[in-house]
Amino acid sequence: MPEGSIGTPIKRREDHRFLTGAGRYVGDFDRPGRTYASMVRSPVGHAKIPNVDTSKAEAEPCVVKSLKGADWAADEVGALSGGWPVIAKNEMPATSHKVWPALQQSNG
Amino acid sequence: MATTTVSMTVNGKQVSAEAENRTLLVQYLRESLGMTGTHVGCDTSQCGACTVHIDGLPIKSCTILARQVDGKDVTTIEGLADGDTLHPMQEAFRENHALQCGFCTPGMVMSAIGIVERNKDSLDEKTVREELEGNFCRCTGYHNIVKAILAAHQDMAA
Repeated sequence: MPEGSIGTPIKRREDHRFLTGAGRYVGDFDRPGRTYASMVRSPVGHAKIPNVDTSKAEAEPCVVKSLKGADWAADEVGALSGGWPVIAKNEMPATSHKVWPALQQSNG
Repeated sequence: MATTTVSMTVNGKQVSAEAENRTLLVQYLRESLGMTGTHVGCDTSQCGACTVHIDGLPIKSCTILARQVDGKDVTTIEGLADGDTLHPMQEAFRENHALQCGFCTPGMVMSAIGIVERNKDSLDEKTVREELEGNFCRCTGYHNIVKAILAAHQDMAA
């Protein structure tokens, strides 16, 4: 490391592609079997969740699978830092917390 | 599903593609034309990552149907640089470290050019911050982006 380099800004090599629209993000390319996750978020701040009816969504031909809080718990996905569930199960911990994601074949 | 042939000029090139009538301009650019420099950050018209210029005006390309843009002149992030020479706004972002992951950058740059164009004679920090309201960055915060826009304003006026 050259002398005096600590604390000195250096030009980033990756900036050129990001600035010209040539970055490659996950959404920019296709892979066989790719699915999109569509997150359903809570419309209220805090609430009990007696049930989430996903039957209508699951009846859509493009929907591959829907996952509820119980599925995530059963798969032992674990929790976010602080112990918050990734997907709310019995109780909605905060506004806009995710209730369930549905995986679909296209993002249309 | 009803489709229409949609034609426009994108970055100086005449393009044409068959698209469903409900196709948004951003989908047309990314999916029909394969130009993925324009990003979809939120799907709700809040984040501004999809901002492009239509006949010179910055527009969120997720708020307009492709067929509404038929016959118009579109500029995207891919069309700003002149070969290896970056547009002054792109250069100012690079110089001022105004990006980190780069996801919001295309929309930021396109909106920023609009800010400078609208405020050619004088531009201050407060105006930049106010007019950048429609573009979200989730990495760096806005400080260096604001710095870059003010620097580019000087360069573009020169």
